[in-house]
Amino acid sequence: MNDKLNTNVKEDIQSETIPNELENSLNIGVDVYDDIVKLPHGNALTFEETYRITSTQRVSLIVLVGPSGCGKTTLITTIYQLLQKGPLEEYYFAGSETLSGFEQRAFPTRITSGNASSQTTKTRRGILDSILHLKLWNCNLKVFQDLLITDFSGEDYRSIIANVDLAREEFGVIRRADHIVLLIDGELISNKKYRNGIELESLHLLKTIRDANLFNKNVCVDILISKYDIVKERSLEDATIKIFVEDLHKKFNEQFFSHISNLNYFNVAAMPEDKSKTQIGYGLSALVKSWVEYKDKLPIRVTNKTLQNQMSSEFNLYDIRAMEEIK
Amino acid sequence: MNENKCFIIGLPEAGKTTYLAALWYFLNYKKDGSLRVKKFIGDHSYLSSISRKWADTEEIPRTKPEFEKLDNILTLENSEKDNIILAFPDLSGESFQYQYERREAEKKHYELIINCLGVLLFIHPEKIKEPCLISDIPLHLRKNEEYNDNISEHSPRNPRENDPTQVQLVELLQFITYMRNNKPVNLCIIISAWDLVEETSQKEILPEEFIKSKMPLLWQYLISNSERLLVSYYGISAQGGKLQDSDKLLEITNPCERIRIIDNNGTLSKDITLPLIMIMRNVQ
Repeated sequence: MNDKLNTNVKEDIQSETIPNELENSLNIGVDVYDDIVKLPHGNALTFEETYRITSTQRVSLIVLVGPSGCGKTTLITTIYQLLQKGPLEEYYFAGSETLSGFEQRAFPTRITSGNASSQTTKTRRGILDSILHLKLWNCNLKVFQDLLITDFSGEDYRSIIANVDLAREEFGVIRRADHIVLLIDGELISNKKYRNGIELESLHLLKTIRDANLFNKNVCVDILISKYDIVKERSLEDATIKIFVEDLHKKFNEQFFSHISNLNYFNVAAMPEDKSKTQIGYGLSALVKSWVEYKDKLPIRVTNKTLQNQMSSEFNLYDIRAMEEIK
Repeated sequence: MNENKCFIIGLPEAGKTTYLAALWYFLNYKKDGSLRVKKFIGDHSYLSSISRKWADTEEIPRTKPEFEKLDNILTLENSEKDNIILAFPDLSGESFQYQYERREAEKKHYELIINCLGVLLFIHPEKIKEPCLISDIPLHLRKNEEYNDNISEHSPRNPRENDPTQVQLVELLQFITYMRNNKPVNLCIIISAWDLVEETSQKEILPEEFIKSKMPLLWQYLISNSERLLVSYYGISAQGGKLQDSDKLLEITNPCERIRIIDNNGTLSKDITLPLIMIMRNVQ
């Protein structure tokens, strides 16, 4: 589709008189029409649209996994909101191709929305092509790192639990993930009535992904307890919560340790109810650092620049093939 | 003779036209500035009219999209008597909001952007919309009935009204780097009405420090993209004070002496052409 669009644009460009000064510096990648220039849409990207980033930049693909309401959109939105207030330790905001997508998601959490409480909008079912982009810059090492973070619907995740074929069909893209982040709703595991069920659902979801062969060999899996402010507060009254969380870690270790070389645990409170007790974005800085720094530890496969460019296009071809497989 | 084109961006009421008005006056009257007018070529009536309002401490009307002046060409000379032609368009803030919201730019703006040597970005310190989170309101206040009665109705997002100023400005800068295919450009950040910043600050503050504290996302973006955005910072008080205090301002007999400009080293000056000199540097 992009090729077709570019051909049209080139034809448009050729058919009009271009001033000399413009001709010299005209950027063919920019969509120039008769009177207007089309600018990037700024919304969440489709996989196809991410190729221009993956082919030229150092990218980590972060796939957030978890049922509806576990806090995936809130997590992404809060990382962006924290950057609005300052760098995340040594990581500076260096740009985003999806600023509008972030703003759409952040709006309900702001006072200007007129909402009484901070609640992001639920991602609609069937949205399997919604990726947010952040470019970070390490001020110590002076290097950039691009993060592509998925914002898929929790209902779609729920539908694949224990259905390996459907998981492979719908979520083939997980195979490309550098990080799979499984979110477990902290509010539910603090409640005796729901905690066993949510633990089972989370274990089964990750097992489904594993048995659908969607783990790549370098993948890092982060088990993340969201809404941790509630876990902390309820643990003061109910000592079994702490034991439950420790057992949960053990169970994940037993089930997955032999399959995944990098299994990490995080506790996060992205938008806590009471910031006087738990700070906004609790645990997020460490999480983002782990995403960025894990990539640094992986061996660099190609160092020769020319070869690297060739590899980039091969990587794109791989992407296209992967997309076709998924379709 | 080379034509040095500059491009000016800023949201509505950022101080772009006031700067242009003061600049035109300064270029015509101030003999010891870095730049001055060599001769009039073409139609400068618009510059002349806004400049007169500035000299009389009258409010200068905002530029509306239909009255944008893209063809302000100034023939200047520097202290070495070199001739400099400076293209200095006066664009409306609404044009940039339109770009932000509609995700398209007019081709005439695009042509200016890809051919310019430098960009002046204007920010008015009292027009900055900061992102305020619901979670930032203390819980006991949110639980308060009075608070809940007072919160406005839930309304859909209106990007130009609701999105933080720093986000809109980062996006506009991203558009520029996108259109220029990442070709480096001089960028001068001008905080207008600097007297207001000085009035409200507890201690002396430099222009970059102000951006860092009020617009941290923009500041991070500028630091991390310093290879393609060659940034300099200025605080400028083109009128030298509030228009309500016009009697006091008019006591200064030479209007050029009202101008106050501070660079990022804290050096004070009255030479309003300094940002122009900065953006006409050669870009490697």
